[in-house]
Amino acid sequence: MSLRATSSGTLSVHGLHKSYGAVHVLDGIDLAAAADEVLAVLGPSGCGKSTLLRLVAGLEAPDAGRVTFGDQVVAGPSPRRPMVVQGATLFPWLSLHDNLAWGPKATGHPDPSAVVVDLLEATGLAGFADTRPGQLSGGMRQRAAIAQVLANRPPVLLLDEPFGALDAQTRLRMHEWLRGLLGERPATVVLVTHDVEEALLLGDRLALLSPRPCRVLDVLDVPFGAERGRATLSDPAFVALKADVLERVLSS
Amino acid sequence: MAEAGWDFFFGQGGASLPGVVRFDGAAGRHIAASVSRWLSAFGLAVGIGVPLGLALGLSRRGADLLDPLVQGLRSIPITAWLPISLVWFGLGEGAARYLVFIGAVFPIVIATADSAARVPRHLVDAALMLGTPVRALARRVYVPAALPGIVTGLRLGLTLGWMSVIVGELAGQQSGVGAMMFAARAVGRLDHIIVGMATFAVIGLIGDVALRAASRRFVAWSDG
Ligand SMILES: Nc1ncnc2c1ncn2[C@@H]1O[C@H](COP(=O)(O)OP(=O)(O)OP(=O)(O)O)[C@@H](O)[C@H]1O
Ligand SMILES: [Mg+2]
Repeated sequence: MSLRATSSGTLSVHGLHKSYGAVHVLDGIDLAAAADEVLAVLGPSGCGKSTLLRLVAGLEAPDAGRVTFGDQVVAGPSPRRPMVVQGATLFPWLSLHDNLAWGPKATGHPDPSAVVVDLLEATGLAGFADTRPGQLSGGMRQRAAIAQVLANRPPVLLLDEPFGALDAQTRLRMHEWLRGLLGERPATVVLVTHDVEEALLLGDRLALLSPRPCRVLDVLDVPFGAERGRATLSDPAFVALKADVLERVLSS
Repeated sequence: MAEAGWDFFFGQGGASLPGVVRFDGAAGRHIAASVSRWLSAFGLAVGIGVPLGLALGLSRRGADLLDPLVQGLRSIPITAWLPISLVWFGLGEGAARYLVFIGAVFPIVIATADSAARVPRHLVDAALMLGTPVRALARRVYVPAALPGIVTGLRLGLTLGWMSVIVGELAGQQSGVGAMMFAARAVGRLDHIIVGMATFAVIGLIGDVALRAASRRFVAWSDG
């Protein structure tokens, strides 16, 4: 589809405030992600990371402030800004094929099945087209959930702790897989996590959030190239940065 | 008892009471009459109960208003509906079917509303973020996601509907397993009464097994 051609632009949030009743969750968040950049967002548990992503996805409205993509203000959910939530966003009653075909069908793609075959290939799930999500392993389910939204070729991808429920080895494999996938199919990604290693392995930049009420403490560049994987974990610069970031998160 | 069953199903020469059901062995006719009352009223209960339950489950205000109403109505025993159905429909087929409908519809409405309200928010969000229009959510997300719960309600409704058939057949029916049993009581045929009860049990069981078999394909995903 030609969505991408007209869609590139900066994804930004300006002065975002959000409360639930007396609970003040977001207290003036300003962030921006350039086209095809991966912005990792790291924050303590319960600080409002999921809330922030739901506002960016347009699933909820802010009390104050706004979310913009390119020159448009976000006003609701869109297939161009899908969010993949930890746990399943797959439809449990459908086969993997039908789950992946859902988006292209809903958006009027002329040949959903061709898109699905491509994606199953790219996500290493080619043999599982007829399998229902409940019968997949946790890692396969997460790949499938990401593949499901990628079927619409979204310019923006919002990931809410996508690999949080997986064991350490599977998670590392998923990190390498996601880097490879984004190499082939670039998108502006906001990746929310509370795992420092995940943030540093996947992010081009890293935003640090405070505990609730949530503010942006700092935004740093992640000084590692595109070739990041398991070898990076033992790179002294990586180890030092990880310790530094962890210290800042813990002391905030 | 075997003999009573034989009499009941194949007749023994037509003992009869004037003005009451004839024991002419027309078991097939009685069973057909009961089953037709049951299935037609159940069909209507599904047609009305599922959409109504969906509307209740999907609208918070609807649930607030109508849930106590439905729960209250549900606690009226089926026999307590008999007088009013006679007033509304008179003696006859209408009253009998109305009672079966009443018996079947409440569990269907309640199970549908409940399971529609429990559809996880993240599935609805996922559908919206895949480009699904809001007007398609009921058909594409809520109904399939709620289907296992709806099927449970249908099974309950089918069984309660069948149990209401006998009450409906108190309303002056000339045919039906229940009518046959009341007539048997009038002539003191305990054996025929018991065969009638067994007939209720067997047919109720067949109905439930058939419904489960028919729905298995659609709800298989939910049992693991
Ligand atoms: N719909 C809601 N209604 C009321 N309170 C909410 C709602 N959503 C979130 N909250 C509250 O807002 C705060 C932030 O929640 P949120 O899920 O955004 O945090 P998080 O950083 O994603 O947490 P976690 O690390 O556990 O995923 C929490 O205190 C939560 O209880
Ligand atoms: Mg969260």
